[in-house]
Amino acid sequence: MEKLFLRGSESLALGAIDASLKFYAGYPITPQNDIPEFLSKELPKVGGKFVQAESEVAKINMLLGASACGIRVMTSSSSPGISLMQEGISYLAGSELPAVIVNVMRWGPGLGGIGASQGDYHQATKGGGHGDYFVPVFAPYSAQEMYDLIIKAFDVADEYRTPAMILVDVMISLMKEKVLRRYDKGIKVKEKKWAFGSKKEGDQKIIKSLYLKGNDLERHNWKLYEKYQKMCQKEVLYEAYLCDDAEIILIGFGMIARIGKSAVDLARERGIKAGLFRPISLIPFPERELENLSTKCENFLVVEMNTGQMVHDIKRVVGKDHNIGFYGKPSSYAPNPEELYLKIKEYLEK
Amino acid sequence: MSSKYYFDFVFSGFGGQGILIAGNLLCYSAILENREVTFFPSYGVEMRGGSANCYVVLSDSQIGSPIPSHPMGSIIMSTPALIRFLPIIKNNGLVLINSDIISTDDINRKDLDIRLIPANKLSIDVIGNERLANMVMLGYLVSATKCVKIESLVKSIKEVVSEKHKKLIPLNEKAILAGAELFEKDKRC
Repeated sequence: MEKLFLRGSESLALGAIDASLKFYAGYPITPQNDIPEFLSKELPKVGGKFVQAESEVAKINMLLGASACGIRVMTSSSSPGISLMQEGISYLAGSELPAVIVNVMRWGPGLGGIGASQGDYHQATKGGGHGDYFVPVFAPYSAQEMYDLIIKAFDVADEYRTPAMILVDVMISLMKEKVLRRYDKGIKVKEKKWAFGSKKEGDQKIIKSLYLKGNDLERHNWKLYEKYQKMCQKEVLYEAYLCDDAEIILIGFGMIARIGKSAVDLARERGIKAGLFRPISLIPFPERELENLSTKCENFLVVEMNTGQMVHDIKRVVGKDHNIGFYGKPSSYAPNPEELYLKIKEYLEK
Repeated sequence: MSSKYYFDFVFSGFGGQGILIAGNLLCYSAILENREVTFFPSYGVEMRGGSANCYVVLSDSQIGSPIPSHPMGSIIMSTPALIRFLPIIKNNGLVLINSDIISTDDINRKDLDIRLIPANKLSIDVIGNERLANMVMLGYLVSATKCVKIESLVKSIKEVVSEKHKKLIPLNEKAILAGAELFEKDKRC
């Protein structure tokens, strides 16, 4: 297994190549540009196609076409670009086509700014495009997880025939770390029998998102729902750090969770029994695990690099009879561990 | 995550001084010694001649925050870097200042272990210009903190430098050793 020193973005792109990515369509926007830069150089070397599209709208529809042919497809963008692609994501979900979409978040609304943000949690987890569907969303917090979770996203996308998303802030994509390249020989992908590419004689294949006849549409929507239920049973990922005896549990995802880990260590050194709960899959959300924790712990402090989005899900799951605090930092930089430690202390003293 | 082996640093100066390559090399050498590392570069709307900085964390177990609240060591290569980072260095922390560029009038903390390093002059002695001042500073930092072995640092240059620039390897090595020797000399005084 190769040991590399890579940026998060490079690690993710390498993971995509090892996951047998065959088609990438990109369009420039800061701060995700490292990903197309890496793939434009490396993807053609392994027989994949790299296309710089004329717009985000074009590229998401290129993905739709390529995915219908049965190959693994991906795109990446940053927040405003992701907004432009929402219609296409809805069509991918409706047509049950696997694709991986990476959002290296920046600030909004509108053009916002290029700083580290978690402002797109709602957009990623509560739809984004029109219609009744869920897109599995994974939130890595290290260069290694960028590699591991992009592979996971491709697997989940294929297994459930759905678009899947990686939601990450720019700090993780910029940071360089040690990465173990677990699949340096590549991953073999099963043939997709439903795809146009594998047409046997006499087989007719229809891929569409329009259902006008009888109760076809109702059946189709329930089918999408059942896939989501199955994901909730099988694909939940989370990390619980020092939660067993904790008097206060910090909850966050992505970079702020990682900084939270250091804050938890600081708190423990200074006599506060703190723990950290980190959802890794945002859809499906680790509801049962969080519910279990809420029977053992009274105090929860949610930390996010926005003005409060995931905190609504925590309130929904943990319930009104718990103390749920919130600390938001909608600025270009994540807080440092000392700052989060002070918030933990402040919260407990209230 | 508490660990016995743990270092966190900030390196800062102007773009072009080799701040980021110094951080990269240090991380790479720590990886050669099987440590965990994080390297976090400055980010934002940058311009030529603007500031450059990076945070480096080395540990024997998983690293939490890649941005330390109060770094224990630093390499400071410009006056704006001094003004920005001096206030956040940990109590009694190590501050290496390139005294060929920075006036020491702005140093207002008494608790720090401040080392004034004529890095430009030492670099000129090695290569004839000041381009290896970053390597002099890095050599000094590594021998002062023992965070990695000097040999690992030298080895990492060989692994990182591309074929095209191979002829520069011995010069970089010399600059690192010049920094390390200066530390040994400082220790004796």
